[in-house]
Amino acid sequence: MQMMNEQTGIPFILNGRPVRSLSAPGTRLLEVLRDEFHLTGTKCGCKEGECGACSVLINGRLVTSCLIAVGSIAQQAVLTIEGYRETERFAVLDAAFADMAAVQCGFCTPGMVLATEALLSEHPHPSAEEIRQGLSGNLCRCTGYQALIQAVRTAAQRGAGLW
Amino acid sequence: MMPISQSVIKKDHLAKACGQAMYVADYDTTQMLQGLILRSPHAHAKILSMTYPPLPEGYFTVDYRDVPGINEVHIVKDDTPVYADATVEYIGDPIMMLVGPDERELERLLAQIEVNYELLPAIIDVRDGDTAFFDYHFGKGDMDQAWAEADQIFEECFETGYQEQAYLEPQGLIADYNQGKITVRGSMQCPYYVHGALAKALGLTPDKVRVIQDVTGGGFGGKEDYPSILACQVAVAAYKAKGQPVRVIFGRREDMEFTSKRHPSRCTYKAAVKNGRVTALDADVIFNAGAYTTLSAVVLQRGIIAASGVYDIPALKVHGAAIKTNTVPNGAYRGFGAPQTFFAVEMLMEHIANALDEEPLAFKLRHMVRQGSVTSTGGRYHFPVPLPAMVDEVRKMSDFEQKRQVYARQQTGTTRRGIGISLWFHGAGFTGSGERDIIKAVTRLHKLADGRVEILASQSDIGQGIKTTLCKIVANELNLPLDQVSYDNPDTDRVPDSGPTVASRSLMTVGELLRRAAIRLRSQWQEGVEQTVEEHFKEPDFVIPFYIDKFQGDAYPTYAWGVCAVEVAVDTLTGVNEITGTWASFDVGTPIDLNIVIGQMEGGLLQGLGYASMEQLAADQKGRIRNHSFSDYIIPTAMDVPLMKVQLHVEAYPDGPYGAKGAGELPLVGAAPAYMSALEQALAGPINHIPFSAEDALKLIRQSRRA
Amino acid sequence: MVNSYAPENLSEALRLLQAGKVTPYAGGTDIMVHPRAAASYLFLRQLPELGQISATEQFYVIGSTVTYQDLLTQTKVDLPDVLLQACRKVAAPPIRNLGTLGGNICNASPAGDTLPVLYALDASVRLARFEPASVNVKDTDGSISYRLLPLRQFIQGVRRTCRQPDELLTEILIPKVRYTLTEYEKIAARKAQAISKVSFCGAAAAEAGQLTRLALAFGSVGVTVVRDSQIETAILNGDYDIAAAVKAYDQLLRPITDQRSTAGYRRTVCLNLVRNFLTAVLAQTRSGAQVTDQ
Repeated sequence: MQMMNEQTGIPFILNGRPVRSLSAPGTRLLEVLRDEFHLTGTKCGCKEGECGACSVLINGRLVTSCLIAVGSIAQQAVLTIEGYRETERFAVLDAAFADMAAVQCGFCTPGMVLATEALLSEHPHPSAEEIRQGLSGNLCRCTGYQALIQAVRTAAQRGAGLW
Repeated sequence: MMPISQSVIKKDHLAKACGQAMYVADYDTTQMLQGLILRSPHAHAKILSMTYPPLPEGYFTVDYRDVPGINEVHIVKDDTPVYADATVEYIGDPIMMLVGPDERELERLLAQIEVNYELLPAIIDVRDGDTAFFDYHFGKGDMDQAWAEADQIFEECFETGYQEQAYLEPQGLIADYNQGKITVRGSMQCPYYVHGALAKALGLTPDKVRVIQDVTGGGFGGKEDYPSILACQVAVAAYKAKGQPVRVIFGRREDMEFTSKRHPSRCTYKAAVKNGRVTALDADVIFNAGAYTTLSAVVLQRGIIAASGVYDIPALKVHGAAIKTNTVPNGAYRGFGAPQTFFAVEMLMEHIANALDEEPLAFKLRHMVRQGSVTSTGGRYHFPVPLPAMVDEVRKMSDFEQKRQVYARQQTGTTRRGIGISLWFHGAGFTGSGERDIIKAVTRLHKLADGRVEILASQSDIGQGIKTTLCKIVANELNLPLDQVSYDNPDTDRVPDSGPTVASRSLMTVGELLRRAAIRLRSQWQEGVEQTVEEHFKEPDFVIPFYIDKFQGDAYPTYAWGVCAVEVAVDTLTGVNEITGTWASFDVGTPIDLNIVIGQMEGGLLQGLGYASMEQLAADQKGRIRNHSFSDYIIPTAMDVPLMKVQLHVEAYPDGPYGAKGAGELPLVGAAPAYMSALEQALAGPINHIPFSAEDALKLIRQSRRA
Repeated sequence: MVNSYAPENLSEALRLLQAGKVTPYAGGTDIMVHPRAAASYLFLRQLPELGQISATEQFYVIGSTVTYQDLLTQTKVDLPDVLLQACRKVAAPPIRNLGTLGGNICNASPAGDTLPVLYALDASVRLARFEPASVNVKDTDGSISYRLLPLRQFIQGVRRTCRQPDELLTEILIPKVRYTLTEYEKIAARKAQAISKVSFCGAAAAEAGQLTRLALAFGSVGVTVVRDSQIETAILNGDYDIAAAVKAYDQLLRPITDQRSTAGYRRTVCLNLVRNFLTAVLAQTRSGAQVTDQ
């Protein structure tokens, strides 16, 4: 695969399905997801990679989709909240976030959920410091992070064996 | 703990957690036009002419000439134009909007618009300001006598900076004009504020205006008045578009640079001290209002009412002024004027105590108000003032006295530690008689034949959880399972005006109305029949009427109380400090949901700590706000969060639902002085301004080294 | 319609670069903040030649498209810890998963987080370009020619490097040295996601109680990283004690005031860090501490 444009399209895997984006290769992945594929669970908070609301997983790594040109992820596997919410792991995170009331306005939440998935994949039993590091790219203005940190800890405990 | 306080899973949790919740930017845009605003590049200028380039098919302009009603946005006063006509008053003042299908094309075309200006002198620094939008005076007691008899007189000036709400979801609205009716939906705190503004700007009767709140990603006051302005602008565009919806969603930069912020302040305090007690306070409070009045009157009112803090000062003279500058109009932000004056009065008391060689906490405790004490405005603290108990709780949690002593001793090494404590209140509910005379809240409960109940009110859930807590109140009173009671995002076509989502009033005031409505519904309940009950606000009997012209009476029916201790460690090589612990006790009455209320306390506390330190925003000499992105306006990340321990101290308020009081704003108000007094101990020097940076700390370190 | 490219190997990439106006795109975290509308990108992360981490006897060799996270998680090569410390301080996890060492260098921001470390460790960069064989021959014929430059020569100013438009940065080479003491400091407004106000890297090597190697490099206090070998030599020779060294750096440094910090603060912090580092270095050498890997 060498040349790409709106006609050739950019093939990648989106939430487990092969798709082809017909956006210009320089288009932000965030816009491709929201506008072309109508997946609005991934949010736009800044367009500068600073807030983390646009976080998705690419080949399992946490990235800010606003800083990714869609052409750069050809053939790679993108996972958004829409794909992740079908999983058993999500169920554990969802329950933990709910029990700790870690969702207030909700705008940072899809990004936080995916950041937690990335963190627990690397550290199934994270220390407080590792949790903070893992969430450090996701800004939250509502919670003060306390409930979020507790939610991650709870999820790690309850989800033993899943990660 | 009362049964109702038991935490439940929030009603909107799942939709938000799995990404299904629809925020305004999530709606399909294929049938919509986009709008892009042209803003003044000058702080103050006359608009001489505007030249639009030839526009492709489907693109059109919107400016003041297109406003079908009155070119004024109704907020408190109506001096904010929908679109600037004669003059522009700040960098960012909206002049016109370009509307069309493609955003990139809009950007290209917007750059071609020519506006000719005649520059006018601009006032950027509030000290140069010559126009006071609002000027208030009030006082009590005999100032002259107190001054004459004083042992010592202290005078200090305190400064606080801007604060940007930095809600994660930027502002955005969609407007649609169809068959003579305008509909505006989007991110907002006050649907009926927007409703009133639209009716005026479009010259429409109320039934021809519909406002719908969408799931809103944070507000903190930043979406209290600003959406009214944006709504009028987008609505006028939709009016001209005749049938196609127009959508404006701000990017972060536009939002940060041009929407309302917390008023910067300069407070000059004079204190008379006799026999180790403060006998008089003279407070001169200056708020930088920005270019238009917007909410400055009310913010200033709340700020100056709090001027004497939690202290019983017999003689008081308070002057407050909101000064016009040619900068972005400032508005509401959690705390609404009180964080500014509480910073001043808490640091003042700290400094006086130090000068008198007394421990600041002991000094403060000796001055505290009690139940029955007279307030700054001649009202009363009708209910228990639990500060002494709360102080004890925080002392214990933080090991305050021990640390205070240890850190007072000579410290060696490159790290310096300190611990500080602050005391504050937040007046619960709308200031003065606004609730009774202006808002006149109405709520309804609509019972379906199958027994499900819907709450009809105009409160916006902006993350504070009222979708859940209001339902809990009604469900509890009707003895229904929680999932049988619902509350949808308000739509003015369907719900009465229960007032704005401001002033920490939603749960306390509207929640109580709903509780009473539920009681009435219960007593009238008929199985299998559709029923509606309505409830109107009635001011509690005990309230001493408040007269705004004299600032006399009960400014608030009751108060929420806060005590917070902060411990810091400063690296003397770099001036960078780390908060090693934060402990707080909050009295917001009965928590309607423990997790939700604690979450509010923790979130507000962190915002207050950010206000004191890393959150710096400044207009340059030309009046341009330079930090307009998340990389330049620094809010705390998960790694900056200190050990935080929050406790609730419950003093049930009889006129609040199950004893609940206004909660949302309280935790932010007094965090800054606790943090700064800790730093003062660590750095052995006075702090009179926030935000206080590492640069400031290093300066202080060098000064005390030389001394 | 504008094309972008994802070449399969370095040779293809270099030929494309030479042929037309394409923008090399590694992590993209800087480019995508202000993307140009009709940009033609040359995506690099899939190129096998640029993504390796290896070591020779004398050098650590890091491919230019290796991400910060790759550096932090790989176990193949025992990279200098001080470099990993700097990587850990870059932004936040999403940026560390995307951003590359080569990008940090070619971006040449005065505040680049890894740059003080690379300067202190005497890093070099390898650049490649396509040399066509000759005229009248198939244009795929030819070879890749390389050149090696010390990093301090490669970075010329704010966002300016010696990279020619038809060159790609392929590898970063760091000499293998057993340092006795290394230190990395990043001073910023918060603990994550922050652009540095001041950054510092110190590296010292001693043998039998004698200081043999010394490097002090400062970031965010000049148009490029500041490092002065003359002052370092004077310290090594014993011509400068700590006070004299601090004075020399005081005269050398010309920090500015900008929206992030003040000149006075930057100066004071740098001098404090110098004093602190040199004190630690001399304490170690005086105690004849064993040479250990830092």
